[in-house]
Amino acid sequence: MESSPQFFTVSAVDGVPELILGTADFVSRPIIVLAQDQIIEYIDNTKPERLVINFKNVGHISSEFITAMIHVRDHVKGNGGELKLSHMNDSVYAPFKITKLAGRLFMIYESTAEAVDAF
Amino acid sequence: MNPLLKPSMPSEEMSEPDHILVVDDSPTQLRQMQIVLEKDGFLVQTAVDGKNAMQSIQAKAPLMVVTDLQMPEMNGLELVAAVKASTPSIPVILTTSQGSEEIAAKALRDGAASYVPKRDLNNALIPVVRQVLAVNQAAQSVREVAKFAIESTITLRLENEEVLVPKVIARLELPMVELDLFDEGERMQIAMALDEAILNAMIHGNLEVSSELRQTDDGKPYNDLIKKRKGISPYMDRRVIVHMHASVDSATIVVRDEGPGFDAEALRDPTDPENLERAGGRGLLLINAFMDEVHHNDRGNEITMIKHKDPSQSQDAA
Repeated sequence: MESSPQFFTVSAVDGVPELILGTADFVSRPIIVLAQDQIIEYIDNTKPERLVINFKNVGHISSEFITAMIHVRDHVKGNGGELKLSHMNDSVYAPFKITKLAGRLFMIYESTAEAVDAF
Repeated sequence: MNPLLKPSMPSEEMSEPDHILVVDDSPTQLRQMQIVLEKDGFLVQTAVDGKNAMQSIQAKAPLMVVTDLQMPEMNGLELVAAVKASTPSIPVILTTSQGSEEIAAKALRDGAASYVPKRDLNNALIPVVRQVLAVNQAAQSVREVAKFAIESTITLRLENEEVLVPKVIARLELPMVELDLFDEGERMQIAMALDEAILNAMIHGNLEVSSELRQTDDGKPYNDLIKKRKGISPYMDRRVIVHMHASVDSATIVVRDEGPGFDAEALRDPTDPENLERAGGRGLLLINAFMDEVHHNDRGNEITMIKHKDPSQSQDAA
């Protein structure tokens, strides 16, 4: 069976798991679907109480990816956890802002350290 | 003799690029690359680090740069960035040691043209150098003619294959770059609007798969139905037509599907707090935010998106 590329790496900041997205663009739907499944699998396996997703390597996203992030958020919440997002460039932040999800469904911070402090 | 290195005619400018700049802090590696390249007819100049390389480039621009990744002063990644910033038409090839593939991947994202593993220099360096030079020369020819362009029209007929979309967008961006129509940020906004419009046409238009299905079971029923309908008539027989007309002051893009159409007015407001978590309507909202004008036809199977060049940019250019 052909293996899928891994779309993120995991590190920790002050004991909070940080999931660093590793692909430059999340605009291709098949990639978004695979990435969503991988992230959800990680969340369901580890059930983090606090989780930061770091977008520093992400250049662009589409609305499909925002929907995927909503599913990811549902899984974090469903496991009793809280999700924050960090390190978005202007192109990535714009869709979250335009759709009015920034500050409502998603708390977005300039750095992971700020996100961790805000838990 | 290498066909790319014909003897210079006396009338040619002395500054015409005629050599490859090889950069490595190891004298042995430097010599090895020099021998391989000279054996194939290339003229070679050398530098021992990135800083030294930039001085050489400023003195006389090379055909390309072949550089090591790990070096003192300025490393290979920093050199790629410096060359891209100062002389973006010069391609950079990296030579990589075992275990540095991840850094090489980053360098490619940052603008490096290719990379060659050090263990395979003798066999792989020349083919890669030749390929990169050929691509760069073709691109240079396109750039030289592109400055005379005043308008461009392209029409594509697409199957319902989402993996095509980023490639289609990259193709549609070319005329905008040639016409110097928008800055990079604006082109990115158009790319996002195009992505939304083409995917809407394929999935909601031609395949008639509702975004409401994305609400259920992490979107699995949505993905399953897309997969299924790609193989069933009439859905699989429908195509998406993308038509773009770009001039020196605007781009008009029409995306039409062959489905039954939809009523854009009937869509829920995705920014209404009650609808924030619902999937539908977000793409259209982004399209409206990123484009200057957006129209739908009466049947609801065609969207026209227009972006005008910022008049202040034209004045700046004048």
